[in-house]
Amino acid sequence: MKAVNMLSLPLIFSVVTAAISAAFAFFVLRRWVGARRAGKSRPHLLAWGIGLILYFLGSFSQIILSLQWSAFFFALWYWSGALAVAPWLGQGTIYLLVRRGSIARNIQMALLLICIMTLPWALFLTPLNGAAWEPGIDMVRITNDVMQRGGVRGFVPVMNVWGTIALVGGAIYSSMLFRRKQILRSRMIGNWLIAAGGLMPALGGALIRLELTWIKYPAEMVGIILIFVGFLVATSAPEEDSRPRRTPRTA
Amino acid sequence: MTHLYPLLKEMHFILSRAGLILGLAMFVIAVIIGLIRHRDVTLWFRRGVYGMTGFVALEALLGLILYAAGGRPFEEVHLIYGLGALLSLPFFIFVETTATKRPAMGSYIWGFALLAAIFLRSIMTGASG
Repeated sequence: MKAVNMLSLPLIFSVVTAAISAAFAFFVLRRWVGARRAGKSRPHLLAWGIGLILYFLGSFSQIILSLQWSAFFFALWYWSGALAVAPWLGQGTIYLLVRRGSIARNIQMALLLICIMTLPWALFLTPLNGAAWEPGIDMVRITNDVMQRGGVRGFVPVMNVWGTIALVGGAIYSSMLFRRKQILRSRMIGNWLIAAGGLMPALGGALIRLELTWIKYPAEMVGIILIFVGFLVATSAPEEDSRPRRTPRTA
Repeated sequence: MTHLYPLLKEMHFILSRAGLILGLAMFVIAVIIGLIRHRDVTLWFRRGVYGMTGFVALEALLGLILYAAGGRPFEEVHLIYGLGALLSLPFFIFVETTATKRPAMGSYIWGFALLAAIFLRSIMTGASG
């Protein structure tokens, strides 16, 4: 009975999101390992894999935080969900679209450096007020009470805007190219789905400002489902079809 | 240690300012070679990068000694910026030295821009506030 009382919609959405993102991360990283064994580098799969692991960490921390207070998991939730997921998912798209020189690798190194700096900052140097927490509470609503503005939070807008533009913009750009050239219809549809999925968490984040905090949880869940389906649809096209035509490779 | 502490602190202070100036100078040189002259990394430039990496490591080591001796920065996040400064150049050295597409001076333009920004922030959060 007690366990049933603890069930809340954010908790259910978080469990589903965590399960899907974990499965998706495993699926993508397995493809990356397979490609590595075949002598291909495929860095976009690694970047997406890291982004999906962070997606999982964010939703897993949400599950913990809906049951009990933990300063560690709050910091991890904020760092992975609000700061690191979007740019890592966007980095995968950058690898596919930006082929000139080492631009994509340099961006990845800057991203890695910022993540290495902000993780201990969020975990160990950010004061958190656990008194604002209570069981089953909407974590988004109490963020400002738990964590003061400034510090590591200063990175969030830049990282999120950058990541969303890279992921969503890259997917829209690819699907428009496929549409214009009238080729690889499955990749066009897949990229539209990825763009829609990438927009969902961003939309959920934007609506927080309008006091619609509850939307964040279903938006995260729908977002990861759409990206996963988009990835499966896009990768269902045989890879050799895209190569001779010099089209941007996606997924 | 107590008689060495003021000296080490002064060195840490001076080297941080020098690091910012050197980082900016290397950034400008990288822009000139890479973006204006469209050339690849020269032997002397790479030696300069390695020298700068050693310089940052020395500055970080001084900071660690000061911390171990009981000194504390103005803001704790100064330690994070120290870590960032220490890691920034090796990351971009890795990208440049393993780049298959040349010229690869872009890595050092990124690297020194980031290093200068991190140095600036670490100065702002260091002992002088």
